Amino acid sequence: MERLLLIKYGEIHLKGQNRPFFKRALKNRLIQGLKPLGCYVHEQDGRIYVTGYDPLDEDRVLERAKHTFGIVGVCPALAVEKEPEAMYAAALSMLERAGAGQGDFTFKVKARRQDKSYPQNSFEICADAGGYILDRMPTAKVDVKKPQYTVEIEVRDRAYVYSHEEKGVGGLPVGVSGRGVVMLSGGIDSPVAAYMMAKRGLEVEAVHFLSPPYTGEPAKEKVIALARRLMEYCGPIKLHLVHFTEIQEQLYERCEESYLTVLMRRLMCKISEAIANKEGGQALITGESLGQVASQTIGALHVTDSSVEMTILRPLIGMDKVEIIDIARAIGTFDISTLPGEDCCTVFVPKHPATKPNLKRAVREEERLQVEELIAAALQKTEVITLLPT
Amino acid sequence: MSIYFDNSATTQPFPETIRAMEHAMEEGYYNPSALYGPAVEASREIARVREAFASALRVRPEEIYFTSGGTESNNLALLGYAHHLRGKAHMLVNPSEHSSVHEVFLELNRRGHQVEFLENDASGRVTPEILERHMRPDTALVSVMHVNNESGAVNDVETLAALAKRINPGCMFHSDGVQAFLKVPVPSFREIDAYSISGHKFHGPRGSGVCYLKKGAFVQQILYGGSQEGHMRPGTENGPAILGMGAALDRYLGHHQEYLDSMWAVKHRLYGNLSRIPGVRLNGPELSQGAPQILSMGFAGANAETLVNALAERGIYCGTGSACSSRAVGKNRTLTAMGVPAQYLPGTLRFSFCYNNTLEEADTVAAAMGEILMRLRRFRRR
Repeated sequence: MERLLLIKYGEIHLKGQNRPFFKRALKNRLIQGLKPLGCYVHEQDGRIYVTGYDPLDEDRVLERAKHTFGIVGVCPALAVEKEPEAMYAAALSMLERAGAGQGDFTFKVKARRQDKSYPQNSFEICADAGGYILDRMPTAKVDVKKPQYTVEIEVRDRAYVYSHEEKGVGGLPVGVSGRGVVMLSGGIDSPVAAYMMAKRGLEVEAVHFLSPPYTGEPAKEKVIALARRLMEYCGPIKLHLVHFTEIQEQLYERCEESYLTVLMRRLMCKISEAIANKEGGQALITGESLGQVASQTIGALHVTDSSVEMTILRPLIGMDKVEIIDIARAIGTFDISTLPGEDCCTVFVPKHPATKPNLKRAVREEERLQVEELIAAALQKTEVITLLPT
Repeated sequence: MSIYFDNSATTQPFPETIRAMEHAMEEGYYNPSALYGPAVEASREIARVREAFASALRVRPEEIYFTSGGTESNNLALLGYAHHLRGKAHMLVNPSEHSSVHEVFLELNRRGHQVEFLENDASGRVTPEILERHMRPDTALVSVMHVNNESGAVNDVETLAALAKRINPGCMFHSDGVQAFLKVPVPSFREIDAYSISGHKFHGPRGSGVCYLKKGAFVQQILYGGSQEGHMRPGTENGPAILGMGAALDRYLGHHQEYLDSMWAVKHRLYGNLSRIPGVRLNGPELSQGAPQILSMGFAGANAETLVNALAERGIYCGTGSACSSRAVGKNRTLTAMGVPAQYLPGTLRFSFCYNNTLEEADTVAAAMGEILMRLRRFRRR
């Protein structure tokens, strides 16, 4: 008897010709996340199995598996020999583990016989297993329509028995959609944006802008902690820490005050695009939500968009703050984002930022700076940290 | 080479501290409550440290309780006293206390006690006049810190305690002495019922502290367990921490005047240099009226966090307000209570010294501050 996880995946089924590619990607993601916990991941007959872990670690393994994009469900299961006694005993123990047996309850047994050489058909397996359970659990009653508990027995190379499926996060395996660079500020929104694009299969790298001495070590620690948290969903993350002080000081000295924010956004996008180009990224990701702040009006977004050629993905564009916060809480980034630690976006904020900036004007303002040189200098001073699951 | 001007946050342990702790862990690791020889010796060593603190404070050894530090000592004295109170009581507290006192009073207030905050004068002190205005014959508890951890203001706790006792002889007077011990003269404990000390503020280890509780003070234990520390603070004695703190006390007392002189000299030198920069303000009492190790200065047109970062880039470490609350959001209680003008509030730094800071360090720091302010003020936030 062995404990293991049985993984169910979703949308991948739809992908026709690309199915093997998607499946391989999913398997690789699982291996990346679960190998550090001593797990083996293998695929057989259209199912993925996670084995080899210490049963005491099951909750941790389950949690990580559930957080892997592309997975719709995870079933903690028992694998036993294809013998009636062993299979039925496993079914009984899974029911008990699910909490059945305290007072009256209803259940049913579902069987699937993939190994046609097994002497009994699935109806017979159900009936026998049901009888076995009824004999041993006096408060049990069979209800095939609306049972409280369902035990499933699958007869394959071995018999797999499970009674309970935990919902996975869904989405597509990270990497199948390409690579994107997220501008990670340390606030609430951008980690959620990264999460949402990773969910659609983008591999994510992160860019963070530091403005020492206006921002300090705690702000840096915070963004590293956020990236670490995201790693649980997005896999390994490369974090680029860009020194932005000089650019901000020059902006402040040379450009029109009400345009500072939008000009800063443009320069951040340009730097992120340069990093994306170097790293093979195909899109930028931001946590902007329409109308949330002055730099996120439709006019300001247009001025920002025009600074780069690369597609800018804004998965939060139509969401309210409360909806974003709900996701941030669910993925565990909210409590990190709300730690104190000033980020560079709040340094040199104009009193009255332009909510309807004009593109021509913005470009003219930008021409007061040596943009190319500034970007090259910032890139040269960029620190890169690669975060790997442990 | 770095310059450490954040000694009120914590200090570097003396080598003597470390050696005493090594000894306690390598040889004297026995449980002091056990009955065999080496264990009894371990309990004797702790008793010697207890006597050393008793003699430093001029109190009885049985009035010295070892704790895990200032926070626990404050909690023990205040919550332990509140435990014993029947009904709702009137309490007075200095508005600029450390969080480990402030938060306890907020909790006592939630429990239904009538907690009233005193005021500070412009130098950050609770004067006898202020206390007299608020003190009532039914005031059960008064807490005023000895030295303020942010401004260095020194309260005359002896006089305040005597005043409180004159109006209500049955009240309890507590004082947080964490920043005061070994830095300003020890008060007379005739009228003071409870006093807190933290080991790591004088080159002892983290996790060590003393709570002085006057014999007969109505303080009940807040932890339950064994009979250690006369039941007041159960749990196996933290031998390494206690002996480490004892060793730090020994060394400090052996060079006491020399250390004080050196801190005073650095404080005066740094102040002299910094006060030549325009837009600078001394927070707290007049220089020589404050504690020797703390200098709080406001810098107009700058943000404290930015200043700390800019100094750190040059290997100079100091604090914004107090380290315990520098990451807490909201207004700074101490600076607000003493009415620091608004333009100096965001840019207040606390420099705090120890015996081995030098005049050259003070000069370096002041020069660095001058350059940093010049740059930052150019980019003053609009």
